[in-house]
Amino acid sequence: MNEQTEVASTAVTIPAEKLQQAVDIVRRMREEIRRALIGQQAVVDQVLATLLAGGHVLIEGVPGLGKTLLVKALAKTFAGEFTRIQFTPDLMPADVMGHSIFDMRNQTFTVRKGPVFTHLLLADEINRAPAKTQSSLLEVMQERQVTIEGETHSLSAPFMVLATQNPLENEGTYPLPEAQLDRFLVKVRIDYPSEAEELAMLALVTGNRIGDGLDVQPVASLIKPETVVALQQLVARIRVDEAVANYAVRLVRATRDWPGIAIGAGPRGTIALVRVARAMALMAGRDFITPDDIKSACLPVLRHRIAISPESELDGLNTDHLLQALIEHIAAPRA
Amino acid sequence: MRLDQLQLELRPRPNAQALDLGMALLRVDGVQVYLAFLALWLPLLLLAAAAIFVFPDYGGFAPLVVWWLRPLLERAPLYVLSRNVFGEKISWRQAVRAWPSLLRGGWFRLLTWWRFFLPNRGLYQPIWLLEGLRGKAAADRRRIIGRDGGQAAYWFGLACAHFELILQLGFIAFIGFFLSEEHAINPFAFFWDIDNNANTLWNNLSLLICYGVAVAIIAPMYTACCFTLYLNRRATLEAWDVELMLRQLTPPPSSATPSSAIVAGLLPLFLLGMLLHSPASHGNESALACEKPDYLVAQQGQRSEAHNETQQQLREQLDAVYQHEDLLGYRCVQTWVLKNQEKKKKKSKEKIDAPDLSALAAFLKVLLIALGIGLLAWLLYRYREYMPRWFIPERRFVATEVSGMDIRPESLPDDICAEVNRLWAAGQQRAALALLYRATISRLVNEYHVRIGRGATEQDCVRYAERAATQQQISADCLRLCKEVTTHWLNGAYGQRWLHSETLVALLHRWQQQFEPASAELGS
Repeated sequence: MNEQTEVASTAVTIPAEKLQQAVDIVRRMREEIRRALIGQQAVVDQVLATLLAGGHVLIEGVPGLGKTLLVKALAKTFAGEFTRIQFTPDLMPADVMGHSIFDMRNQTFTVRKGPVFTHLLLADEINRAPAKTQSSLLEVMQERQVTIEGETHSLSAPFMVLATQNPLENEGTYPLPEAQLDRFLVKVRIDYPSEAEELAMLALVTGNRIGDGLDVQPVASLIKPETVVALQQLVARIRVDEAVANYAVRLVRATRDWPGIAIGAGPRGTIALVRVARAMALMAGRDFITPDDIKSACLPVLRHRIAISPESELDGLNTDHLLQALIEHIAAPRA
Repeated sequence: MRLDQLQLELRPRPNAQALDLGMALLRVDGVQVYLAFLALWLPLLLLAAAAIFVFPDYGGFAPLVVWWLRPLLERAPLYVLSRNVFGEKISWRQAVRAWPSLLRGGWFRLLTWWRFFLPNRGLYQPIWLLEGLRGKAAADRRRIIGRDGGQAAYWFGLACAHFELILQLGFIAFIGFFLSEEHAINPFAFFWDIDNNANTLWNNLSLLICYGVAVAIIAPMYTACCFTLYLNRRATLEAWDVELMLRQLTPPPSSATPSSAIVAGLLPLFLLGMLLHSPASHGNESALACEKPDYLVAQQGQRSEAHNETQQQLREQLDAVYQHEDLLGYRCVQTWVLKNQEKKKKKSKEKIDAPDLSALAAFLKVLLIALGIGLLAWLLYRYREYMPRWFIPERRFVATEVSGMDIRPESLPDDICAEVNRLWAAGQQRAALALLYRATISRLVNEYHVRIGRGATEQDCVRYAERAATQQQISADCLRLCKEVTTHWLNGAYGQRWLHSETLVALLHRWQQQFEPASAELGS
């Protein structure tokens, strides 16, 4: 049994008290979000992990399952700005990015920033917008800056896009290009709440209230946006053992020749896997990642990076089925 | 029921003749019978067709609904037939008008559980319709009527159902020939093309129409034949032929005075004659004037002269009675016989020297049985996973490898704690903890029979152990120790955070207490 080395040479040991402080913050953020959003714990964890890893989330689920509420609650926990764009077929890139307008009084052009200048951006039903609007947003997600009339404007940190796709309606939509999908760090599936969760939601909504909406009033602002950036830096220092990194690589490489998968995940998939696993390790109170973290991150990170073959689709399989089988087959690293 | 007005020649007949009589009856009254049925059947078909248009998603149920209601519709043609056999001419309009009142009795039975199991329902319809029996009386009657004719009606009903099916398929194929693609070979392909969603509505409609036409042809035949089966059964049970004969013997009321004594005298003779010539011996022939057999001529001998005119009249009447084919005491039977039967018999005798194949037959029999058993065994083995768990006892799961780790007991050193100590002292901390972790998993799997999957990670193993503890498969102490070993292994292997030597010593001590006795017992 050989001594293992760390993959990330820059990773240094995180002081225990600093780690504990970070873990406490994350734990309290989860609890605060839970005050507004009942159930969907896995979704909350995955979105929180993506925020800590500095990525973007693609959310898929039928309307009315609390996507907006989740984003609003998350923004409120760190006192961040939140904007929501409802994507429509006539939405233009300038409507998202912003544009310059001519000021008649001063005889100058002034820049009017678009809704993308925020901390958390909820891009609702992104597949309804035309390709050029989608690609401009995807570019901003990658570059984290916007160029308007030749002038570059950096986005505030943290910046996170949560794009939703409605899986029920396909008419008049522009599905996101496969090649662009890996701009999203994870793809989260929101399912219907359990019976107990729905009951609890009912009690919360109908208890001495007017209207039928859940709101984020009870959610407290715990930290500032800068603290989130500090947490993201801390996550980047989480230790990754070589054996675990090997495991991640083996998993991603296995998707490329796995039966039933037509197109496997690229190297960005491996990087994303480790990034999310790091955030999950921090949420679990550890300063190192384990194969379990990789395994937990596997589905949300890889499900939108692979394409299943038509035969598998005809067999009623989806990406999650194939990835589950793959995870079961690839042995986790051991001594 | 006025038997004297019966338009049929009733006598006990074999079932085949009774069915043939039904067809003959239909030939006479076919127009009214068919019209009576169609007058109800067509509106029902139209309603079903409308339902297909209104509920296209449930169009496949339309033929089922009309099939379901059909027994009630069969009462109209039965009404026509039952009245016509007694000389009362009923038109189809009268039958349709009377139909709502004919529905009483047996309708619930015919629309519920009976509907599925009784193709011979036609035999029992007259019990409700003509005899008007209900409840227990009807049940007793059905039992008696069905004792002999039930089987025949049953098989006849099945045959009719097959006729309907064949006709329906024929019509479908006929339509399919015209609607299918130019080079299509299978005329049914058009209807069975499940991807052709656009035609589902017309497919369902076509299927309904084809079924409707097939039933429109067959149903009146079925009703008529079942009715004559019923009449035949009653004629046998109640000796209608005798009753009719007696009625014919009864003189008209105007000349009743002199003949009453004659009838009283004739009756014992007649009954004696009936006993001597049982109707059960009837063949499948009609009355034929053929020559009297010699033995009968010899038995009768010569008659003496009649004493008086009364006796002469009596003799003439008796002779007239005995002229009836049932009382002749003999019967002419015409059958078809092969002309060359003799030759064939000879030929078969000539071939008697053929080789004896009984041994080969026996061998083939054994071979076939063996093949059958083999096929059954293979099928049971091939689809064993679909067998209920109680049928095939669940095999105890013993993993030999978990995530690439060899966890077989023989792959571990005899004294695990000593080996861990040795590795630790040699500075191979990772190897020491890895061995301890591997040994822990091995003990869980091999000694406590905890089910652990092949690709299980550390947290998965902990979850399996927790489940085993919940099921009291392992103790709480054991679970705690497993968790502790896992945590130390994870901290060391992936976090480079090694435990203190003292902690290791304490851990090994607890490990030895927990796992070594079990191992020793296993070894002994």
